[in-house]
Amino acid sequence: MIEEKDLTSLSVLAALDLPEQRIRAVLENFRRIQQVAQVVNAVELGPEDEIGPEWRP
Amino acid sequence: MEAVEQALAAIRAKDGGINAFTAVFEERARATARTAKGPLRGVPFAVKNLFDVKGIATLAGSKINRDLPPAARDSPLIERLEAAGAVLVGALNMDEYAYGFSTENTHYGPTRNPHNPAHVAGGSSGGSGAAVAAGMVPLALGSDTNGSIRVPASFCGIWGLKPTFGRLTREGSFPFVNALDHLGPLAANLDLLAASYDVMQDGEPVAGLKGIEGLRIGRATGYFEENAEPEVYELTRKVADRFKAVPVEIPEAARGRAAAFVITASESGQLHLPNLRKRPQDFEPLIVDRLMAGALMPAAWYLQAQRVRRWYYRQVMKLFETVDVILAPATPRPAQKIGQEMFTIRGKEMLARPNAGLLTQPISCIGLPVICAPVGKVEGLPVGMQIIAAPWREDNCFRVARALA
Repeated sequence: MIEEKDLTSLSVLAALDLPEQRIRAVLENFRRIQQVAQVVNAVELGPEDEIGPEWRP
Repeated sequence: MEAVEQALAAIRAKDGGINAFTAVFEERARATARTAKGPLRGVPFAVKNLFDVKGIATLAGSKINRDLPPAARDSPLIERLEAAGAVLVGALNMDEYAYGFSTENTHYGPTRNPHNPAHVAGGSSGGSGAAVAAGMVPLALGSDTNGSIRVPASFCGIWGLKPTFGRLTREGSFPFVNALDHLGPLAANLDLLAASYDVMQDGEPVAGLKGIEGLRIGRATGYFEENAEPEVYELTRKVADRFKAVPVEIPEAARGRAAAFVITASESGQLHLPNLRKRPQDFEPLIVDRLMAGALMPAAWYLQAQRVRRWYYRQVMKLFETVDVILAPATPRPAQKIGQEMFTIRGKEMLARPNAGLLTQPISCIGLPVICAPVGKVEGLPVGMQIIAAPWREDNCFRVARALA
């Protein structure tokens, strides 16, 4: 899971100052997203799943 | 005119205890009512405050948007309803920027559930659900990105429709997640749900549709059973048994939900990044950390989630070769209490606010049309059932709903 220093680096890249009092809560939220993203990233996809210009059902 | 006056009186009498409305347009409503004509003549309605209403800033539940200029015109969906005779009477409370399932809004106060004011009304269209359930208006408009029409409809015991992605224009509404946003109606009864949808859509009318002969109906098991309290699932099972529905499993619903979660986090974070940089202190405290985290997410995760969504869609479409309609509970539980952080589902403790949408997110992720129908009460509070059809087949949702109403 991402550590505080990694999150701080990302925030520098995004030009987003993380207020000191928010860092812990943002980190918790990021880790939750990371956990869910791992589920998504584990899906094996084929060329038919490539994204088109705009998604429509 | 009489119905509009009754609505205005009901808002005055009841809204102090519910907090569904953020604005009431008495003068405008009376003026519109005087000349109203059409199939919805004199029907009072209200809109979630992310719809543009001419002359006022579109708040979308936020403090920040108070600084926006007033909307130059009404949202096209308001225009369509008013062209059919309906009368706009007010704007409704919501979770800030639609990011939530509870309408516990720090800036405007929580909206209370008319069935028990200690409980939430659901969200993010909580004002819409509560205003209808309290009998202040019979019709409201809401938006649904991950369940924001269906969760309040379920918690408030009313009807809600999330049409197919792309069916109703989103022009004149404040966005949340471009890839997932839908608009739709919530109503006190099915007739009004159908009539209002018909005046907003361009397809074949659904009002008056009935008969489920030939429809193949399924009951969602697996993920949808495991993530609902037994008493809640039982209500869906009872309805399904009446229709002789066959058990079916919506494939990969958990991973579909995960994709929706990632897409939502990324797009909403990016949408608000300029204000997160400039004025983070003005955001809703309940969402600002989520928005910041989403804004920092790698693009690779977002793009993978979009691919997974397509992969998931293809699998669900195969299921629609064997059934036309799928029934599933709308929420895992009835409404939690205002301020409640955690709840349990089948003994498993989890965060209450994000998980109220556990059962709606896998459906909106791929844009399927859904009606949320009231099917009973658990612990004295209402819960709803999703009537889900293949894309563009709202007619099938309405046929099944009619057999229930």
